[in-house]
Amino acid sequence: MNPGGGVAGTALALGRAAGPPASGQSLAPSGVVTMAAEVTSLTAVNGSAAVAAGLADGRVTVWNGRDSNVIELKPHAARVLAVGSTADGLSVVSVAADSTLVRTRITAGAKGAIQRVDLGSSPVRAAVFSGDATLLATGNAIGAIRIFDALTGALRHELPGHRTELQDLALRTAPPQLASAGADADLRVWDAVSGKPIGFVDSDLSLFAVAFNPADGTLAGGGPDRTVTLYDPAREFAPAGRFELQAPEIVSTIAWSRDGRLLAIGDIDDATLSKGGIRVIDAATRAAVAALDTGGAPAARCVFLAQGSGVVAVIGNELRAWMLDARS
Amino acid sequence: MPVREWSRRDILRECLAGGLLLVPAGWNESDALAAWLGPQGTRQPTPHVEMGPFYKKRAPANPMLRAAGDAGLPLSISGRVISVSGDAVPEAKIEVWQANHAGLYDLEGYRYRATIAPPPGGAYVFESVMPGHYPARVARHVHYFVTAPGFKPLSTQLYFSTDEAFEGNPDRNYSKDPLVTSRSLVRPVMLSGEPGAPSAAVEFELVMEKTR
Repeated sequence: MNPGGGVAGTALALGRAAGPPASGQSLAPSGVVTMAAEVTSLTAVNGSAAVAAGLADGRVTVWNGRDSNVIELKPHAARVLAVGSTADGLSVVSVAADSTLVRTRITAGAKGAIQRVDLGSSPVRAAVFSGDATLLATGNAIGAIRIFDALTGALRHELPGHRTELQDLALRTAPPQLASAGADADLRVWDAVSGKPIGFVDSDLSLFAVAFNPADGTLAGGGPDRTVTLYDPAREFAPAGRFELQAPEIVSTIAWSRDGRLLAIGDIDDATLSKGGIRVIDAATRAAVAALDTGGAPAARCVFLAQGSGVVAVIGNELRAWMLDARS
Repeated sequence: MPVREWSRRDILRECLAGGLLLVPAGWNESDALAAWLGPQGTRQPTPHVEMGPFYKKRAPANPMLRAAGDAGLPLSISGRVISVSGDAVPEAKIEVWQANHAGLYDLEGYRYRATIAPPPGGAYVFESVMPGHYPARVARHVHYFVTAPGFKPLSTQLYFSTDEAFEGNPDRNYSKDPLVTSRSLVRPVMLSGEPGAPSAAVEFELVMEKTR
């Protein structure tokens, strides 16, 4: 990947698949790269077809999704909790368990600008940047949520959040909204500017994954009830639709395409926690678009690329990419 | 006739008044209460353990989690919900859930899940089976989520000293499961019954902290 240069631009765009995948057919990965440490976080790099992965050893790796070339950055000395992309796609912003918040230009060997954030004393269980990396939200082991200005590291809000640990967080960029899923089976939505609650769903089971549709703000959530539920932002995030999954797996990760048309849903079996896959669904028609071949392994997280129609997922210590046809 | 609930403080005060507890000359009641309740009456809150992914709200108020014919060692778990000062916590609600004998959680229904409302004395009991090993975890465990007005919510887990994971030495090996945050959560198991039809019993006291 373009060593020494930025990742924005077409040079790093994912190649097109040889042909459009038939709806719902299994799609083999187009690229695989193995990381040197556990992948703890993943984001699409804006304006490009690259992804940035945060690792347990403090590194952030930027990958073009095609080959084995990566740009390795070392912004932290501790486990990366979340990674985000600036709006121009030229830098990544990452936060680590040692309370460092670092903005690093995507250039091999670049040194980042280090700030410190007050993550509190309880371990962070979930962290996420907004799509332009201007906001950071964290949720801890006893349910408290913090919202930071990711440009300055300043703490904007500390919210009571949940009664116990966080499972997942999602941040919408505009308008700034935060969704928090707790192990207490509550789903809460917050105005990320004022810190005020704007939605509450009293679920029976907890959600393992939540994600905002970038186009219209619909919130998708999934977990052990083996469904993905859509929550309507126009009705205080009341449930508005459900995808019943065919396979008897529980939902482990969800991602929306940039145009809000497609949903990628990763699942995992609750009996062995060792099997799973990813399916891509048209959110409007519920039609299956593709089943991404993970070799039967579950995905810890997945993202749609910012450019092109591709999905990258974390499978064990690997990043794998699949190319979808733009017409899918 | 209403039944009076006696706190440890009440009992101590009665003992002092009745001459059943003797204290040095010059001590007043407050001195005696502080001396008694300080070292012996104040308890550490039950350690927090994460709730995990499979909590389910609205479990039935039925303390019999075990059904006839269920596989697994019959298990009775009992204890009290008390404050750090040893008094019963009023209006507590205990939610418990666990894997079945095969190590699987019921996500569709409410098998091996219950909501328990202890009476004013704080005592609780439920009947279950020894949980199996869930694949993502080292040790067998029972989840608890305890709430009460004026107290911090308590999420914790009960473990068993007989668990193979502790290799017969929970003092040394309890942290083999990284979620076992304290040795105090690993409780002794008492076996009883006939050799061909044993059952187990465990006591687990739940100590809650008041909200500030």
